[in-house]
Amino acid sequence: MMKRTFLSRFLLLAATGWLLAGQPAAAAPVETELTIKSASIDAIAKSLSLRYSLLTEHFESGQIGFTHDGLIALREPGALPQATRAALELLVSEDNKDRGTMYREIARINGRPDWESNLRGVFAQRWISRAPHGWYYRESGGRWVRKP
Amino acid sequence: MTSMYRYRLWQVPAILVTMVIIGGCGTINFFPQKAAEKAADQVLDEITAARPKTAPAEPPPANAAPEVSEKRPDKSP
Repeated sequence: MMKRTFLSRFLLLAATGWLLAGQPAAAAPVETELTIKSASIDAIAKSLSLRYSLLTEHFESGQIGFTHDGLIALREPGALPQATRAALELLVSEDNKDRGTMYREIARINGRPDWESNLRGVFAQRWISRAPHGWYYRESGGRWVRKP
Repeated sequence: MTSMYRYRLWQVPAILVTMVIIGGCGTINFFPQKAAEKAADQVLDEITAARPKTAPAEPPPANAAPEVSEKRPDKSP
């Protein structure tokens, strides 16, 4: 009697849990394509592209690097002359604003705003693995690593 | 009755754990990792491919003769 109660309750609640939590996965198509086509993403990509040409030399010199969440950051702000630092900080913060908007926008136009952090992770991984030799990236623990 | 009570308490974590595991598997598998990597590569191609030194203006019309820009050039010959 006791066993039956437990078992039937367990099954009932587990089934409810599956319906609530697992159902979206079952309903999703197996092969999902992500779209990146939108006027806003084009505009952001253009803006990032222009700034990328300005930032390249700083990536090469190791003054800035990629972070694990798809952004960029100054490596050693203290080591830079004040004027250089201010200019670079401005570039970096503008770039990060664009990057954040881009990830949010890609998630949004694909109807899944909750994918933003997944997208950040994927973009970070792609940025880092595509970066040339000698460029830096920061691990989630905060350690800077120079690409071999 | 005491044993029944304890048995019931015991169910709570068991059920919760089952729900989290089942739900979590679905959620983790749901994000289209490969599609996201493909999309990321497309965007990164676009961002990193062209490296103009300055902001590119509209390309000059190919058929038009070289015309004087409305802006005064910094260094005129």
